[in-house]
Amino acid sequence: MTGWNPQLAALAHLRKKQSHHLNQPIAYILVVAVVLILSVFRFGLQNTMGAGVAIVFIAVNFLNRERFKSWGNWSKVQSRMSAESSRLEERILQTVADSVDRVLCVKLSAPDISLPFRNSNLVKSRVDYIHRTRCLTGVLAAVDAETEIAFCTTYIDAGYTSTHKDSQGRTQSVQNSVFQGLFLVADFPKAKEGWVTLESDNLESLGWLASEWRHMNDSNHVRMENVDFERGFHVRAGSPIEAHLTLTSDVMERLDTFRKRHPDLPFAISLKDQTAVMLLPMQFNPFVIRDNPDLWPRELDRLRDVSEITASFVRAIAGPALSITAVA
Amino acid sequence: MPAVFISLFILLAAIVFIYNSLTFRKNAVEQSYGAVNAYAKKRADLIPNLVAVVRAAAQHEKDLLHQIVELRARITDETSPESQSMAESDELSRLIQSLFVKTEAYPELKSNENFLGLQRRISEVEEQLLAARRAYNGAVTFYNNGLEMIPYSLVAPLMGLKVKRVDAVSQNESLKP
Repeated sequence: MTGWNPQLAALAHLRKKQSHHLNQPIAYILVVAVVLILSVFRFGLQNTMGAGVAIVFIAVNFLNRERFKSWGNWSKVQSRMSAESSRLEERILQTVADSVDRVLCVKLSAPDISLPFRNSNLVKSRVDYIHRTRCLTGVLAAVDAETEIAFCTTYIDAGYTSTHKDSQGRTQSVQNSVFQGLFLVADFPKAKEGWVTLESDNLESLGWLASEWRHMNDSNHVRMENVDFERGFHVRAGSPIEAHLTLTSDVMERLDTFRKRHPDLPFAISLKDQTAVMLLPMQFNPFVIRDNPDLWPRELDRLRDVSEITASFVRAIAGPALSITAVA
Repeated sequence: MPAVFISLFILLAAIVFIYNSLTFRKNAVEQSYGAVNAYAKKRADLIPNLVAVVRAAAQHEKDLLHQIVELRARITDETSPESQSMAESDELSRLIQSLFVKTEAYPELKSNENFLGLQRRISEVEEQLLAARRAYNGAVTFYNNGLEMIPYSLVAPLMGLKVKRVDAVSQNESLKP
């Protein structure tokens, strides 16, 4: 992570202490195992050396008995540690999000996003399940929207369940993932009528023939008058008027700026029912921070990217901001 | 000999493809121009009611109302050419906007539900008209690009197609109630 801020450094220190505390019982069990194996096989418990090692070991453990008491109920300790770990993770995520934009607020669980996901027209196949994790959320007051824009970014795994019989005739159900990645949803009051979808374009690079073929065969394809926008996005809509009502010149300009800021992202956007949805395929879940702070730089960079994408997408959707409020 | 046939076949396929593509572009322009006209007509249909409501309350705006009525008559005249019709449509938008500004001085109108409803409806149609004109511009740009690029430019003159003028649309035209 470029430029660790003091808060993150303190959190890394906390995490190190926490993982050290979690690892103590495991380390102790390992030491016990090694000492016992050595006592039995190397020295033999009946000989003086073996008995001496065993006595010293028992004495050390007797002096340390207060510590073992705290390990007494291992499952309780584990759940407490895991809750602490989760809180710490949330603080880390919030610190990274804050470093990008104060409007972003981390929440433990994402709201139900199945309706906007299914309504978006972006995933064509059947979806039976949507697994989701933490989310970045917030509210932005926009000038031209004359209202507040609520948004949420989360990592989802959506797909369908299929069943098949195994070799012993038992029915097995299998989850088939159709989309894994970031799911961004924000209020978009301009999308009043019909539906509009945008995909970052990849066919233009195949040349005029591929592009011509698409123009002639996709009856929902809409041509926009903004040449830069047209080059960067493949726009589809119920009708050209719907597309132009939703994609006003300033919205196109802002979305094009967003695309130029993130040129390598293969994203798809749906503007429908006063809601903007963006899907961004991603193999890893950026909201999970591993225990070892030495592995953090890459993870925090990814999280920072996600926060940046969220912030710039919401600002592209909302337009010039009046005021910014993070939701508690 | 087969090479000649293959070459001829490829040439023929290319001509068919270009012809279809140009026809597709031309039809897209005509279709979007049709949409512009439909919305312009929708707006024109609302004007007589607007004029009647305003005339009853604002006697001093007679001249402006007269101009609006005249312009409406010219726009609905189907014989007027494309470019002139677009310019007149712009002028009508400007006049309606200035009428809405002037009616702010008449408290009677500001509380007249009928007038407020009409104002809202006209603003909506103006917005749709603006979107339709932008769609038309998109179609015209796509059509013009085709006409000016090789290999289309070789076939277009044979089809009698000519470059069309892109309509200048201002984003500020939409009227807010």
